[in-house]
Amino acid sequence: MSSTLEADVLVVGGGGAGLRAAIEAGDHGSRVILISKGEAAKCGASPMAGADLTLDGKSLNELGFKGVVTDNKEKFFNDIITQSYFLGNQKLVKRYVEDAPKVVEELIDWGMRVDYDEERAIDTEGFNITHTLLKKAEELNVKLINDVMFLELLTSRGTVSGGIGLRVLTGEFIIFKAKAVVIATGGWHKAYIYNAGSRELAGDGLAIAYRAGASLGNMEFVTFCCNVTHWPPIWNGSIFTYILHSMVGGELVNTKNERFLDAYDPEVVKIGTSTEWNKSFVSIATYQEILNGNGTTHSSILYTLKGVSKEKAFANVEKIYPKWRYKGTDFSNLKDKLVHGSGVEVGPSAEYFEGGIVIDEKFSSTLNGLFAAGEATMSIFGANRVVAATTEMLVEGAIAGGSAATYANGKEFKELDQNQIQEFEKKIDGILSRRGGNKPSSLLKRIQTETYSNLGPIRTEKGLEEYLEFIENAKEEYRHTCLQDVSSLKYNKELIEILELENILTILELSANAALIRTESRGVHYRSDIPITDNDNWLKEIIFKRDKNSFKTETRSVDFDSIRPPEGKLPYFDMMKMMMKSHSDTPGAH
Amino acid sequence: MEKKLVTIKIARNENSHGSKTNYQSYQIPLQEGMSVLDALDYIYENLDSTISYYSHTACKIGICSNCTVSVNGKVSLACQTKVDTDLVVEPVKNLKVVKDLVYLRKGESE
Ligand SMILES: Cc1cc2nc3c(=O)[nH]c(=O)nc-3n(C[C@H](O)[C@H](O)[C@H](O)COP(=O)(O)OP(=O)(O)OC[C@H]3O[C@@H](n4cnc5c(N)ncnc54)[C@H](O)[C@@H]3O)c2cc1C
Repeated sequence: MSSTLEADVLVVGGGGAGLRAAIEAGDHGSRVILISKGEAAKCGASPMAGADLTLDGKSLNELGFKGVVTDNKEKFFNDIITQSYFLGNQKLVKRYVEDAPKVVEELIDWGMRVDYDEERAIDTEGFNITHTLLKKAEELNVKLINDVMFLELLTSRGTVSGGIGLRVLTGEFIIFKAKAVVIATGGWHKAYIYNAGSRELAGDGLAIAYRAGASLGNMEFVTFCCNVTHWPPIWNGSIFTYILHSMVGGELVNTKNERFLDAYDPEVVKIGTSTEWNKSFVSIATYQEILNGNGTTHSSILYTLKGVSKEKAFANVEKIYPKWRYKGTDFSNLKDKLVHGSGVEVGPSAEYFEGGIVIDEKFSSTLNGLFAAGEATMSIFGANRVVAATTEMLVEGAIAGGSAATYANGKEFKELDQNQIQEFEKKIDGILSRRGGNKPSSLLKRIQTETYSNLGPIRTEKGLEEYLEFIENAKEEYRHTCLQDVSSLKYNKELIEILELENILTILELSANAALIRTESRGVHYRSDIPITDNDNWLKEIIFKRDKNSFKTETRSVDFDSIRPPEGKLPYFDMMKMMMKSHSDTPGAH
Repeated sequence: MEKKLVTIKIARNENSHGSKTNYQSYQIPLQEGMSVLDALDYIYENLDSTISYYSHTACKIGICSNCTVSVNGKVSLACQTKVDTDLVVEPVKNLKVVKDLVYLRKGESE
């Protein structure tokens, strides 16, 4: 082990949630270290986001934007809860709605640019959000350490005392002594062959928290963004085609050139393609088409601009994305493909993870001294998120950072448990001494492919059971997976991947178990063998806690403090339609 | 149909202090619409997993700039640069190399 660093509050993750937590803790007077697997503000999903920031129309209007004056916090709250299929956390969604105007206004005060506004949102770029936060964090003397992969939490008698990280560039390990730790490590996009996220998002923080004793919940729910480019490789994972379809429309057809959405209820199609409902509806319909054998070899369907007035559409696109440039990608060739060619290959890609660390109203986990924020938490949006995760990361980051600082205040550092450090060293030595096994990249590829097929937009009992067997075998193979080059740990890509694989396997096993246990379809969890939303039996959350080398499962009922769900069982798409129709009179995408 | 092969020549360097750069060449099948980052991934996954290039985090949409390398002498984002011919890939000049294509960002020390 090399160096030891001390902080009152250690924040893990350099995306929006981590940065916002660090700012809040710093503002409370804590000495804060923020470690980030990549470069803070330039890694994670946050800088990649569109990005919209949602809040209720009335508050938006009061901030000087368009907003819908007839909207209000109550309508916004009701819409979020209904669209969560009533699994949303009503207490915390209330807090989201309440705090949203504050965190948005504050960002604007700190210098964030606003590009345009909608009924319930303002739009900027993820990069602007993270860079505004970064500047603020630096002003508050948050110590930022880039390119550190957090590996393990350290605890003393059941309370967090610090953790261990790897400097990925130099291959050195660092020990952290911390009074409180905030996990803000985002999702586990890396587990999916088709995903829209940044490469390092491997569920590390969740697996680490779980190993240390914290509970995880909502693990079965994964949001797939529809119409994400799957092919060619240089565009793979970009959501530009998703945005384009939302903006100017166009046609989604299968390889037989059939408009496969025509098979669904026209009202569901209308709302399901023009609002945030598209993520669940179009992703499921697309994946069904692929399962029917009508997709391309890249798990895609085809997107064309048939039926769209091109001049008008192109003028609109070029106004917002001059020269067809989206973020840093040149899409000028896409124009030809959309108009003259057979279309571009698009499909569902993993985008947002509802599952995560179980938190209370202070965003404290079930482990003493451990807090969590942003996508790494068990989502407050239950089975389906239709409002901004960017606002979520800000609201939650601020609460978690404040709670961690308050918790740390006046506490002494805990003595580190040397046994845990030795255990860790043994684990690393074990990895470095393996010989003759498979390469981590080979195992990862197979995991990614299997996960997309079996734990993707459509699940079945048979698929999940086979998948869990696959995971068992993968865990065994993992124990032999080894590095080809152990001579230097300097930027050793295989070492990083092996360390990630342990976390990915932990998370996937829990996620698949939850998907198997939830014998219904709800929100983004669609079981084609049970296409029914069951409000009699499944208005519950599935929670996991580690139990030696296995886990304990618990189901927890949801509190309906403010609004109550309809009773009974309904076919999934009927329930979807009912939820769609119960939306308030506030127009727009959210 | 036989796929066209291209040669990717990569700077290999273990320590930056004045040591002469070694180059290693790899032949890979050219895929239509492939980026330099895809090519490096192909080499890492299929030919030589000991190469280092900054890729444990990568946005792949041209905003994080962490995959910046020199391609045929030109500073480029690996994720947004198309491969259609033989290439030489090196770390960005005048920055301290950690290993192969990985270097310290401006103002950073080890
Ligand atoms: C392409 C895309 C577009 C999106 N667009 C929108 C949008 O328009 N509106 C919206 O509301 N939401 C959008 N989302 C979702 C939203 O961006 C995310 O939910 C949100 O940014 C998550 O923020 P976060 O800080 O919790 O996590 P992230 O931003 O993902 O940050 C996680 C951080 O943790 C770090 N980390 C991970 N593991 C470790 C480790 N072991 N050690 C140290 N650090 C670690 C990462 O490097 C990163 O810095 C989008 C998502 C994607 C992928």
